[in-house]
Amino acid sequence: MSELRVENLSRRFGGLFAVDGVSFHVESGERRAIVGPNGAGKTTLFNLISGEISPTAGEIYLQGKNITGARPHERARLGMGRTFQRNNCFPSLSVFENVSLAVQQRRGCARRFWRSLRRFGSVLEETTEVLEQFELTSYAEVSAWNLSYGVQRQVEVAVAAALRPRILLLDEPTAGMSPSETLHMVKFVERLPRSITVLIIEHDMDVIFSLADSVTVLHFGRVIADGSPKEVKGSPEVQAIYFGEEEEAYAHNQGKSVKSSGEGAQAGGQG
Amino acid sequence: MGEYRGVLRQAGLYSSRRVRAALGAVLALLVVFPHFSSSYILSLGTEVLIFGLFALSLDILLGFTGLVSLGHALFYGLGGYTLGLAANHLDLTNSLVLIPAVMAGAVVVAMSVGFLSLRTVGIYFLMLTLAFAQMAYALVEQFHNFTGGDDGLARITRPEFALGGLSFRIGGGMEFYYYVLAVCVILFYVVLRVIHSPFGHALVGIRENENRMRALGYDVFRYKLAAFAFSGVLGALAGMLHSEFNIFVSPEAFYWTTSGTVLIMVIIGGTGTLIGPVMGAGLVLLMRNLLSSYTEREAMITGIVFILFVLFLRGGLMDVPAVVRTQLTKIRSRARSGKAGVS
Amino acid sequence: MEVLALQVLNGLVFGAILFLVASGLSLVFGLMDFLNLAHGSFYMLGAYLGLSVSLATGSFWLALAIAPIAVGILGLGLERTLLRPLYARGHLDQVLLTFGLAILMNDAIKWVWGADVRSLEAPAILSHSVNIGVGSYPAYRLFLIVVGLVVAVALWWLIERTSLGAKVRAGVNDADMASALGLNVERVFSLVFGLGLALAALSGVLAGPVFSLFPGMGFTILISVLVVVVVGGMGSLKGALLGSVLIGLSDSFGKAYLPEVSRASIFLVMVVILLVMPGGLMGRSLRG
Repeated sequence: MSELRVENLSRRFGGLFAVDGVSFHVESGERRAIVGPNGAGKTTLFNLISGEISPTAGEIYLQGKNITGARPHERARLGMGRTFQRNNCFPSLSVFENVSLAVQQRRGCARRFWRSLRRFGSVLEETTEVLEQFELTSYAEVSAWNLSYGVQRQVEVAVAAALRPRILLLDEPTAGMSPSETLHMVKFVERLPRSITVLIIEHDMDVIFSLADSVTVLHFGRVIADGSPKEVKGSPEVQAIYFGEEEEAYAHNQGKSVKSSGEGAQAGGQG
Repeated sequence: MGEYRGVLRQAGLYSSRRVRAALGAVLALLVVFPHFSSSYILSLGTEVLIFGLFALSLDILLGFTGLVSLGHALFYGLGGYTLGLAANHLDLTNSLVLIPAVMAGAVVVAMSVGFLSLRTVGIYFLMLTLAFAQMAYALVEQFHNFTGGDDGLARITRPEFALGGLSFRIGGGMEFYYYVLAVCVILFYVVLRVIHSPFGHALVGIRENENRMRALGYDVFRYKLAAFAFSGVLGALAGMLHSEFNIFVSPEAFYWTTSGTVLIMVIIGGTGTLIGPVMGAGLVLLMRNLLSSYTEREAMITGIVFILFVLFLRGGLMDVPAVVRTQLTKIRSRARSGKAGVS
Repeated sequence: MEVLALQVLNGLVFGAILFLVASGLSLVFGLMDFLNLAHGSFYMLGAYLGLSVSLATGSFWLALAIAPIAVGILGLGLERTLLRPLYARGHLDQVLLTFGLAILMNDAIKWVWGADVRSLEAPAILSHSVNIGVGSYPAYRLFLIVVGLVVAVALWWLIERTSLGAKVRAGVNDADMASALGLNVERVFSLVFGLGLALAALSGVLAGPVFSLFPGMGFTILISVLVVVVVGGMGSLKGALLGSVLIGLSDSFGKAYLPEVSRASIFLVMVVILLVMPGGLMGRSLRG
């Protein structure tokens, strides 16, 4: 039985299919990368899987259980964790407090309302352990909004992992990072135990090659390739799309801006 | 902007000896205060405590859960009118019955209103809370046979505790002050415990990032509902105290001006701190009392002061030490670089 | 006059007033993600300015022309000075600031014009009644309904058919993207803001002869308008129109047929709608 199975998943916005008949399955312990140009529907796919939005068609199964109708917090309770692309975790709270929110939920004491949190030794201990595991101990008392971008993203992953999910969805964990920060993040993710299945949206080919067991390529909301990183990279369809993408990424890094091919701008157009 | 203290940090703060000593000193001051004040000042002090409780109750929603309510007067009026209706229609003045009744009523109202309002995005919640409070105002004004309408309800008594054959009445002036002080201290302690608990931690998490909390498995709606009920109960108790203070209640208790006043108190005092709202209540009431003896334009000035706080001292009074420190550091470093001849 | 028709017409009159105020509030929110709690105060300011112009010149029409323009310009200035720095700060601060502004304006207006209830004279040529088949009805009120309709159509045309409207729609969809595409988002914001306030002021002057002028009328109308946008949804003209008509009719019918709850009838309708359609009338989610 697959850890995660997505069947014929679609999400329509007006006339546009952000996700169009996507099917794939991920085995337990697998590291699966979801790639594709901007606008290919990757984050929408994640949002469908984690329950932020509901599909217009299709089904989602977690360990064989149909979770298509389940709400986000129910899916989290069933063992699904995720990080967000543009989310700053809990900005004004310290890193320790950030992680402890996940830990207290995992330990089932989140509803206790009389005893001070400081007296929940088990929560505090486990939080300390998670921080150590992710080498964030030195940042324990720093407020998240005072951290560098790279460390913030690391905290995001730590918080999600602290929940001890069965499957972890990482939404562009290395976006906007310097090469050294990216390396750190890759090490981070590598360190995650194989008991956790990891689904990761990524643009950076190096990261994918380091981390992923398999790759699913999306384009205009559809799956156009599915296989090992080597197979996918070698595929002519993927190359056609990706060469354009890599050029754009390269040019972008050089400070130029290049219009992405084949992408219509979403907003008003000429007006 | 004020640096919010996460629950763990705040709990740590409150368990430090210095803070505890300070709190103890304040409490001692509050206890001896009546013996050194005129009846006018005592009256003002009682009002500050009552509004401080009211502001604290709103801060649970605003500062800790991140829910902006413009209709908190709904609970305030509920507390007062529970007393008024009980006294006038049921001849019931026993606080041992009335206090639980006020709390139960607040829970029922919070659940109903919350059910309709808490599943909406922030801006609608704001509008809905205001609408519900106004609805209460309109209904109370309307059913004047039952509620006294615009004339309000009198025959509310000072608190009376009766059990079996024994009864114990609290009088006016100092006695009433101590009653209010006791209630406020007890409730402040309760809020302290709840906020510093894992539940309070969850509320703060919701304030910081609701979606993230859902992704962690928290049923955010239920937490919000609980916070709303908790805050409502405290607000209703404040309203109850106020009607006992005035031995009177009127529809104004539900009016947007009441919701507005308490919101201003919370912002001026400093959201998400427990002391802030109480200080805000003190400042606003003090300001009002001073102004009203010199001018009729008290509302306008309050509005201006409020705007200034929002623009320039958003963290409120609680932020003053931090702001002063920052400014002093700036001045010192400028002086230093001036001496060294560096621009 | 047949009672039912009377109620419907009265409801439409109130609906027209509401629409003029609600459309501005809703558009500004849809475009700028900004809830202006002082919006009702500008309605009030328009009414009182109109009163002064009308008393000074003896002409209702001059009042109707001048007050909205004056308020619109004031609004433009306010947006540029007071509100723009707050865009970066987030919604709560904007709400708080406009709330403080509303309190300030309410008292300032009371200071200048006094606390007594005032009334605005309707123009002479509309001070008679018209026979409309089912009975006779004041011409001025019919005029109000017509104005409401005209403005609704004009706004629709402006939004859907002009380049300014396209810019507004682009901004509503995604202000960041529009700005990246070269749209001077700030200018569009200012214009729409000023227009919204001008409409509110217009409504204030128009409302004068029907409802009187009194301190606090800014908040009274704001609350009704908030009910309108809760029911009709924020950001859409259609929602504002539907909501206004519904609430106007609810109020009117409530007063006629359920006098025991007349003052709360609009809220009761709101509650029923929320229970039945949690997303509001337009189904457009109140849940974002």
